[in-house]
Amino acid sequence: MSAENKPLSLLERMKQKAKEQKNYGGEFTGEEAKVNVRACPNCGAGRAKQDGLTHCAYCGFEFLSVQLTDGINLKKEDNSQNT
Amino acid sequence: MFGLFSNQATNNEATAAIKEMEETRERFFAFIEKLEQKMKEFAEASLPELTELNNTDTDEYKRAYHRMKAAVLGQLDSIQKKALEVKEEKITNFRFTTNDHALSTAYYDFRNDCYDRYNQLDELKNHYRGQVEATYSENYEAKYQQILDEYEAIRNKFACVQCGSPIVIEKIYFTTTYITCPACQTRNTFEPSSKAKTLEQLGRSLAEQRTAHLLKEHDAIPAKTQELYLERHKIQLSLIQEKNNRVIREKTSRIEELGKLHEELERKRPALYQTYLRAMFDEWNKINPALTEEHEKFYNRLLSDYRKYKL
Repeated sequence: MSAENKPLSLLERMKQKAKEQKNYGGEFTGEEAKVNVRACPNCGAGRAKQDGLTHCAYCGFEFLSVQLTDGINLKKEDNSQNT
Repeated sequence: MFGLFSNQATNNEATAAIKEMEETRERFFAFIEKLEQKMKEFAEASLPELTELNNTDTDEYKRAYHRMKAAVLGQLDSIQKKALEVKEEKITNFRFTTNDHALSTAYYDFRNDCYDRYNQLDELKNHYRGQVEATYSENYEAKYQQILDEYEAIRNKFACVQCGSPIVIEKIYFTTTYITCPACQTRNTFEPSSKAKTLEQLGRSLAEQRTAHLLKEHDAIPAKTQELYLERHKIQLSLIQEKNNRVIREKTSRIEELGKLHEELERKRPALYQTYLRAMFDEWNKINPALTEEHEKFYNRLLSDYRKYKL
């Protein structure tokens, strides 16, 4: 039997399978850091710090339906007052 | 006179059962030896392959390596399982019909011999399991350095999407967050890179790696205390036949000395764990200060679990 036709050992088959098997959730794609702004889809106004994050200061559009509590970066003060 | 034939029949049965035990023992030992051989060959061949795959796997989470490792460990488990099945079937459930005391004793000897032989295979499997686990290595320091370098590179790179004023990223954020523009006060949504998002998990692994020597010191204590116990036990046994008063005094004093050393180690153990845990969490807090409060809660829980369950 030639070297090419030689059947693979158990270990070689395991290695081949481990390498060939598709990754659950797909391949890893690294993403760069980015900055974005969410403007109000109703009136186009931006969200300023003093107006809070949950509602638009101008037309009252609801950005977030939850009541914010103190977290790592968000604080209770980030709830909009004009709800 | 009347019981003569039944006694002879019982003796014949006992002799046959003992012979069968001998044969089963021989076959079982030969079987375990073959499995050991197979396990050794397979594990020894797989270790360099795993190390190589760990070094060459370019996937972010080394998934090919982990799949291969799981397969290797599965093979080791299946070899042990074969032995376990045969042990249950041929040794534990070995049938003998008489209630002869000598035969029962012979059976327990036979069973203990086979169990000991099986335990040797079990130990060998645990040994190779440890070696297989040890093929994994990850350079957490390098990954952390990449996050720091990336942060230095991007901290002044961004501008407010609303008004264009520069936004400074003041610290390493590992979750999506809002950053206020100092000029127009608009809340910009900052999304960290994939690398920065791994900071919290990476932080713990790195902190554990940096303080591993302290944990090792703590983990070495049970082996030391066991050694002391065995030495003490050996001296205690030797005292049973001892007649010489001088030797008895010397040995008794040595036993007391060993007992004190044993107690001292047991007493030191929780303190060593706390030292390790504190050092580990201090490192983790340094790496990711944003979650210090949460880390401290976790620290207290681990410590109280250790005390409560005497881990």
